[in-house]
Amino acid sequence: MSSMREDLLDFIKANIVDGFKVSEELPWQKDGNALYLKNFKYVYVSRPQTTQEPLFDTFDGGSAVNEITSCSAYFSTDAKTIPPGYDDLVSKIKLARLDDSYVGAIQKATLVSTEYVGDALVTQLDISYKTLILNS
Amino acid sequence: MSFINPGPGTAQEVVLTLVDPEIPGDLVVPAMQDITINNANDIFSWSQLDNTAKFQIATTSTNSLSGNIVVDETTYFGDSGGTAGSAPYQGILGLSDQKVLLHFTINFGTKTIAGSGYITGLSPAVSADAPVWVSPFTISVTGSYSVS
Repeated sequence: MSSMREDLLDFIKANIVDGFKVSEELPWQKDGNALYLKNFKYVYVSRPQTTQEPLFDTFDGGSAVNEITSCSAYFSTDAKTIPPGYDDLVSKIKLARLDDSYVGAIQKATLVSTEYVGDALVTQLDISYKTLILNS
Repeated sequence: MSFINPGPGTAQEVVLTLVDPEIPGDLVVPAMQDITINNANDIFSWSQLDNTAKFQIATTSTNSLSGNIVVDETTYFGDSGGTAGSAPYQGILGLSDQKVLLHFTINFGTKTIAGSGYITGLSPAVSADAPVWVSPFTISVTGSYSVS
Protein backbone atom coordinates (compact mmCIF):
# COMPACT_ATOMS: atom_id res chain seq x y z
CA MET A 1 0.00 0.00 0.00
CA SER A 2 1.53 3.29 -1.06
CA SER A 3 1.63 6.23 1.28
CA MET A 4 -0.28 9.42 0.75
CA ARG A 5 3.01 11.19 0.01
CA GLU A 6 3.83 8.81 -2.82
CA ASP A 7 0.32 9.17 -4.23
CA LEU A 8 0.52 12.95 -4.04
CA LEU A 9 3.97 13.01 -5.65
CA ASP A 10 2.75 10.79 -8.48
CA PHE A 11 -0.27 13.03 -8.98
CA ILE A 12 1.79 16.22 -9.08
CA LYS A 13 4.36 14.66 -11.43
CA ALA A 14 1.58 13.68 -13.78
CA ASN A 15 0.08 17.15 -13.68
CA ILE A 16 3.13 19.39 -13.44
CA VAL A 17 3.02 22.64 -15.39
CA ASP A 18 5.77 23.85 -17.74
CA GLY A 19 8.35 25.87 -15.85
CA PHE A 20 7.90 23.93 -12.60
CA LYS A 21 9.51 20.70 -11.39
CA VAL A 22 8.84 18.15 -8.70
CA SER A 23 11.44 17.17 -6.11
CA GLU A 24 11.49 13.74 -4.52
CA GLU A 25 13.19 15.19 -1.43
CA LEU A 26 11.37 16.12 1.71
CA PRO A 27 11.20 19.86 2.37
CA TRP A 28 13.97 19.69 4.95
CA GLN A 29 15.83 22.77 6.11
CA LYS A 30 19.36 23.73 5.20
CA ASP A 31 21.00 26.54 7.13
CA GLY A 32 17.61 27.35 8.62
CA ASN A 33 15.82 27.65 5.29
CA ALA A 34 13.51 25.10 3.79
CA LEU A 35 14.64 23.68 0.48
CA TYR A 36 11.73 25.19 -1.36
CA LEU A 37 13.02 28.65 -0.41
CA LYS A 38 16.34 27.81 -2.00
CA ASN A 39 14.98 26.11 -5.10
CA PHE A 40 12.27 28.25 -6.62
CA LYS A 41 9.60 26.56 -8.71
CA TYR A 42 10.33 23.10 -7.30
CA VAL A 43 7.38 21.40 -5.65
CA TYR A 44 8.20 19.56 -2.41
CA VAL A 45 5.89 17.18 -0.60
CA SER A 46 6.09 16.52 3.13
CA ARG A 47 5.38 13.36 5.07
CA PRO A 48 1.70 12.71 5.79
CA GLN A 49 0.28 13.69 9.15
CA THR A 50 -2.54 11.81 10.85
CA THR A 51 -4.97 12.87 13.54
CA GLN A 52 -7.83 10.91 15.03
CA GLU A 53 -11.03 12.29 16.51
CA PRO A 54 -13.34 10.02 18.51
CA LEU A 55 -16.82 9.93 17.00
CA PHE A 56 -18.64 7.69 19.45
CA ASP A 57 -18.11 4.93 22.01
CA THR A 58 -20.36 2.08 23.04
CA PHE A 59 -20.85 0.25 26.33
CA ASP A 60 -19.28 -2.94 25.00
CA GLY A 61 -16.04 -1.24 24.06
CA GLY A 62 -16.81 -0.53 20.41
CA SER A 63 -16.00 2.86 18.99
CA ALA A 64 -15.66 4.83 15.81
CA VAL A 65 -12.90 7.27 15.07
CA ASN A 66 -12.58 9.84 12.34
CA GLU A 67 -9.05 9.68 10.99
CA ILE A 68 -7.82 12.72 9.09
CA THR A 69 -4.71 12.24 6.98
CA SER A 70 -3.08 15.27 5.44
CA CYS A 71 -0.09 15.90 3.29
CA SER A 72 1.35 19.24 2.25
CA ALA A 73 2.97 20.41 -0.95
CA TYR A 74 5.19 23.50 -0.97
CA PHE A 75 6.78 25.59 -3.65
CA SER A 76 8.24 29.05 -3.87
CA THR A 77 8.19 31.58 -6.63
CA ASP A 78 9.47 35.08 -7.08
CA ALA A 79 7.07 37.30 -5.16
CA LYS A 80 7.64 40.30 -7.39
CA THR A 81 6.64 38.59 -10.60
CA ILE A 82 4.37 35.59 -10.42
CA PRO A 83 5.57 33.17 -13.10
CA PRO A 84 3.25 32.01 -15.84
CA GLY A 85 1.55 28.76 -15.00
CA TYR A 86 1.34 29.55 -11.27
CA ASP A 87 -2.45 29.62 -11.11
CA ASP A 88 -2.65 26.59 -13.37
CA LEU A 89 -0.33 24.61 -11.07
CA VAL A 90 -2.27 25.58 -7.95
CA SER A 91 -5.52 24.56 -9.61
CA LYS A 92 -4.09 21.23 -10.66
CA ILE A 93 -2.60 20.36 -7.28
CA LYS A 94 -5.91 21.26 -5.63
CA LEU A 95 -7.45 18.44 -7.66
CA ALA A 96 -5.17 15.93 -5.91
CA ARG A 97 -7.88 15.60 -3.27
CA LEU A 98 -9.97 13.77 -5.87
CA ASP A 99 -7.28 11.21 -6.64
CA ASP A 100 -8.59 7.65 -6.85
CA SER A 101 -6.12 6.60 -4.16
CA TYR A 102 -8.35 7.95 -1.41
CA VAL A 103 -11.12 5.40 -1.76
CA GLY A 104 -13.61 5.37 1.09
CA ALA A 105 -12.83 8.89 2.24
CA ILE A 106 -15.88 10.69 3.56
CA GLN A 107 -14.39 14.14 3.15
CA LYS A 108 -11.67 15.41 0.83
CA ALA A 109 -10.36 18.94 1.02
CA THR A 110 -7.49 21.17 -0.05
CA LEU A 111 -6.39 24.28 1.82
CA VAL A 112 -4.25 26.73 -0.13
CA SER A 113 -2.25 29.35 1.70
CA THR A 114 0.54 31.72 0.75
CA GLU A 115 3.22 33.46 2.74
CA TYR A 116 5.84 36.05 1.84
CA VAL A 117 9.35 35.16 2.96
CA GLY A 118 11.76 37.84 1.79
CA ASP A 119 11.39 38.05 -1.95
CA ALA A 120 9.73 34.65 -2.15
CA LEU A 121 6.09 33.79 -2.33
CA VAL A 122 5.70 30.43 -0.58
CA THR A 123 2.60 28.54 -1.59
CA GLN A 124 1.42 25.69 0.61
CA LEU A 125 -1.31 23.26 -0.35
CA ASP A 126 -2.64 20.99 2.39
CA ILE A 127 -4.53 18.04 0.97
CA SER A 128 -6.53 16.08 3.52
CA TYR A 129 -9.06 13.33 3.61
CA LYS A 130 -11.15 11.86 6.36
CA THR A 131 -11.95 8.19 6.82
CA LEU A 132 -13.94 6.37 9.45
CA ILE A 133 -12.28 3.65 11.50
CA LEU A 134 -14.46 1.22 13.41
CA ASN A 135 -13.06 -0.40 16.56
CA SER A 136 -15.31 -3.29 17.43
CA MET B 1 -19.51 6.37 48.24
CA SER B 2 -19.75 3.60 45.73
CA PHE B 3 -19.77 4.74 42.15
CA ILE B 4 -21.11 2.56 39.39
CA ASN B 5 -18.69 2.67 36.50
CA PRO B 6 -19.91 0.48 33.65
CA GLY B 7 -16.56 0.14 31.90
CA PRO B 8 -16.43 -2.23 28.96
CA GLY B 9 -15.40 -5.72 29.97
CA THR B 10 -16.12 -5.13 33.65
CA ALA B 11 -18.77 -6.85 35.74
CA GLN B 12 -20.73 -3.61 35.71
CA GLU B 13 -20.77 -3.23 31.93
CA VAL B 14 -24.27 -2.34 30.79
CA VAL B 15 -25.86 -5.33 29.07
CA LEU B 16 -29.42 -5.26 27.77
CA THR B 17 -30.92 -8.65 26.98
CA LEU B 18 -34.19 -9.26 25.17
CA VAL B 19 -36.12 -12.52 25.21
CA ASP B 20 -39.35 -13.57 23.55
CA PRO B 21 -41.05 -15.35 26.49
CA GLU B 22 -42.72 -17.76 24.07
CA ILE B 23 -39.49 -19.01 22.50
CA PRO B 24 -36.17 -19.26 24.37
CA GLY B 25 -33.20 -17.37 23.04
CA ASP B 26 -31.42 -14.27 24.34
CA LEU B 27 -30.77 -11.28 22.15
CA VAL B 28 -27.99 -9.24 23.73
CA VAL B 29 -28.24 -5.74 22.30
CA PRO B 30 -24.75 -4.79 21.10
CA ALA B 31 -23.12 -1.41 20.62
CA MET B 32 -25.35 0.65 22.90
CA GLN B 33 -24.26 4.24 23.15
CA ASP B 34 -26.44 5.27 26.05
CA ILE B 35 -29.49 4.13 27.95
CA THR B 36 -32.00 5.79 30.26
CA ILE B 37 -34.25 3.88 32.62
CA ASN B 38 -37.41 5.89 33.09
CA ASN B 39 -39.85 5.54 35.96
CA ALA B 40 -42.30 8.44 35.78
CA ASN B 41 -45.11 8.55 38.29
CA ASP B 42 -48.34 10.28 37.47
CA ILE B 43 -49.39 12.67 40.19
CA PHE B 44 -52.92 13.52 41.25
CA SER B 45 -53.10 17.01 42.76
CA TRP B 46 -55.82 18.77 44.65
CA SER B 47 -56.29 21.92 46.65
CA GLN B 48 -58.01 22.46 49.95
CA LEU B 49 -59.45 25.63 51.37
CA ASP B 50 -57.59 25.12 54.62
CA ASN B 51 -54.12 25.08 53.05
CA THR B 52 -52.16 27.36 50.71
CA ALA B 53 -50.19 24.48 49.26
CA LYS B 54 -51.40 21.81 46.91
CA PHE B 55 -51.71 18.23 48.01
CA GLN B 56 -50.44 15.48 45.77
CA ILE B 57 -50.50 11.74 45.62
CA ALA B 58 -48.61 9.47 43.28
CA THR B 59 -50.81 7.22 41.19
CA THR B 60 -49.59 4.99 38.41
CA SER B 61 -46.22 5.16 36.75
CA THR B 62 -45.13 5.00 33.15
CA ASN B 63 -41.98 2.96 32.77
CA SER B 64 -39.72 2.80 29.77
CA LEU B 65 -36.14 2.26 28.68
CA SER B 66 -34.71 4.49 26.01
CA GLY B 67 -31.34 4.73 24.41
CA ASN B 68 -29.33 4.70 21.23
CA ILE B 69 -27.61 1.87 19.45
CA VAL B 70 -25.18 1.58 16.61
CA VAL B 71 -27.01 -0.71 14.22
CA ASP B 72 -25.52 -4.19 14.05
CA GLU B 73 -26.88 -5.93 10.98
CA THR B 74 -27.32 -9.35 12.55
CA THR B 75 -29.04 -8.29 15.74
CA TYR B 76 -31.06 -5.56 14.06
CA PHE B 77 -32.45 -7.58 11.16
CA GLY B 78 -32.31 -10.97 12.83
CA ASP B 79 -30.14 -14.04 12.67
CA SER B 80 -31.64 -16.56 10.29
CA GLY B 81 -29.46 -19.22 11.89
CA GLY B 82 -31.16 -18.81 15.26
CA THR B 83 -34.17 -20.69 16.62
CA ALA B 84 -37.15 -19.71 14.48
CA GLY B 85 -39.29 -17.12 16.24
CA SER B 86 -36.78 -16.43 19.01
CA ALA B 87 -35.64 -12.89 19.76
CA PRO B 88 -32.25 -13.35 18.02
CA TYR B 89 -34.06 -14.79 15.00
CA GLN B 90 -36.51 -11.89 14.78
CA GLY B 91 -33.97 -9.19 15.48
CA ILE B 92 -34.71 -5.81 17.03
CA LEU B 93 -36.61 -4.63 13.97
CA GLY B 94 -38.65 -7.82 13.85
CA LEU B 95 -39.53 -7.60 17.54
CA SER B 96 -40.72 -4.03 16.95
CA ASP B 97 -42.50 -4.76 13.71
CA GLN B 98 -44.29 -7.82 15.11
CA LYS B 99 -45.11 -5.96 18.34
CA VAL B 100 -43.74 -8.78 20.43
CA LEU B 101 -44.28 -8.47 24.17
CA LEU B 102 -40.74 -9.26 25.20
CA HIS B 103 -38.99 -9.78 28.47
CA PHE B 104 -35.90 -7.71 29.13
CA THR B 105 -33.14 -7.54 31.69
CA ILE B 106 -30.56 -4.84 32.14
CA ASN B 107 -27.82 -4.83 34.69
CA PHE B 108 -27.37 -1.71 36.76
CA GLY B 109 -24.14 -2.08 38.69
CA THR B 110 -24.57 -5.31 40.65
CA LYS B 111 -28.38 -5.17 40.35
CA THR B 112 -30.54 -6.48 37.56
CA ILE B 113 -33.66 -4.68 36.44
CA ALA B 114 -36.21 -6.78 34.59
CA GLY B 115 -39.58 -6.21 33.03
CA SER B 116 -41.77 -6.73 30.00
CA GLY B 117 -42.48 -4.34 27.18
CA TYR B 118 -42.56 -3.50 23.54
CA ILE B 119 -39.78 -2.13 21.39
CA THR B 120 -40.72 1.10 19.70
CA GLY B 121 -39.17 4.31 18.45
CA LEU B 122 -36.69 2.78 16.03
CA SER B 123 -35.54 5.38 13.54
CA PRO B 124 -32.12 4.54 12.13
CA ALA B 125 -30.26 7.48 10.69
CA VAL B 126 -26.93 8.08 9.05
CA SER B 127 -25.13 11.16 7.80
CA ALA B 128 -22.14 11.83 5.60
CA ASP B 129 -20.20 13.20 8.56
CA ALA B 130 -20.96 10.16 10.70
CA PRO B 131 -21.43 7.35 8.19
CA VAL B 132 -22.54 4.69 10.63
CA TRP B 133 -26.17 3.77 11.11
CA VAL B 134 -27.37 4.77 14.55
CA SER B 135 -30.88 4.36 15.91
CA PRO B 136 -32.75 5.42 19.01
CA PHE B 137 -34.97 2.83 20.64
CA THR B 138 -37.50 2.70 23.39
CA ILE B 139 -38.82 -0.24 25.35
CA SER B 140 -42.26 0.78 26.48
CA VAL B 141 -42.65 -1.18 29.68
CA THR B 142 -45.91 -2.79 30.70
CA GLY B 143 -46.26 -3.08 34.46
CA SER B 144 -43.56 -2.62 37.05
CA TYR B 145 -39.86 -3.23 37.04
CA SER B 146 -38.50 -5.98 39.19
CA VAL B 147 -35.09 -5.51 40.77
CA SER B 148 -32.97 -8.41 41.88
